[in-house]
Amino acid sequence: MDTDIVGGLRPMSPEQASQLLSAVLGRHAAPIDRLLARCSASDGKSWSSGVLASANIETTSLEGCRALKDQAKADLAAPSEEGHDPAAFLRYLHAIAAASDVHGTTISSAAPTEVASGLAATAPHLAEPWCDMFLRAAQRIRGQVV
Amino acid sequence: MGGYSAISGGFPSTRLQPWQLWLGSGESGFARARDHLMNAYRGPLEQYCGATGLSRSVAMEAGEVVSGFFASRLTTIEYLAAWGRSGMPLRNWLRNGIHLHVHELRRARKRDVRVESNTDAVEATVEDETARFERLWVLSVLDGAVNKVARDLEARGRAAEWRMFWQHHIEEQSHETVGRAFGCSAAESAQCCFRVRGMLRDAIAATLCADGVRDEAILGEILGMMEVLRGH
Repeated sequence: MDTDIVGGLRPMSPEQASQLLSAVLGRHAAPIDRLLARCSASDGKSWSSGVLASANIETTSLEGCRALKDQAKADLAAPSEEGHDPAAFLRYLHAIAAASDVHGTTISSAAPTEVASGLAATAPHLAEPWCDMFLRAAQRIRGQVV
Repeated sequence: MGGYSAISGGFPSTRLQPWQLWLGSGESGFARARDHLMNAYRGPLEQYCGATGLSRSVAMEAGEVVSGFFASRLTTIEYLAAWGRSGMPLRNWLRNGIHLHVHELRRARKRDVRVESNTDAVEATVEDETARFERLWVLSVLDGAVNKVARDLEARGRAAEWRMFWQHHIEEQSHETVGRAFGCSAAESAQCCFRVRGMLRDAIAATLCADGVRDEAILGEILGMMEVLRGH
């Protein structure tokens, strides 16, 4: 057996297992799982930093955040065979996090616990300042749940 | 993979439940079922017994507890037949069964007060360790599927397809990049990855079937596996 073949010859990490399941599920994988799978790759942090930096959302108005969220949501509406676009879902979460952290407003109509969970799950994979922004937004949104 | 009708999501709908075949095939079928069960579940059960303190509660090694459990339950077909009637995933049936086995051991040793006093500590960790058991089981299912597919492709002289799949889906390289590395087009890389995904899906589905999951529940079970890992 070719020992250079990656995967299959030694126990995989939970992160690799998630990536594998995300691949197997394809379009059935939840957007958050596809995003976390992307972030788990060796270049995950640099990839996510590239997506987040290009949005320049921190200087955007609240209405601008809403527009960015809606555009990202539209981009997620038609997943490919390989699943939802992880960059689109990251932009979606970024818009929600910025609206919460910068403008103190929740702009998502999704269940607060679900939104907070997505932000909290993604945060550890991100570089600063986005890690802290996502965590603060998760805490704020979670705090709104009665 | 031939022989199956596709349903939404590409998961097979006409897979014969292996247990139905094994348990309906007399002694040889029962022997196959018993061997599969012991090979597939010994590891996770031993880790569970050790981590929850079940084995310590009866002053035994985890391996001894699991071997004794298998010996006590798998001499006849009845235990597996009862599982078949329960509708429960086999891993949960076995986990419940090992608790009962340890309870029986404690009763047999009830003269040992020290053993009895450990039960509270065991119960307190069971909930955490149940989640851990589920994660261990998910990882073992995936390891098994990956090993099977990687070795099957290697045996057919198609090891490069496995590497292409891994580089695209785990290392997140684009089909263009993978195609350049392996001397093919992006479209060919995508087709190759699609084929390997299907092989992995079938390998995972086969293990789930052997755990008692019905065809129509396989997609939901795999989604559940993802949730288990998300909680890691």
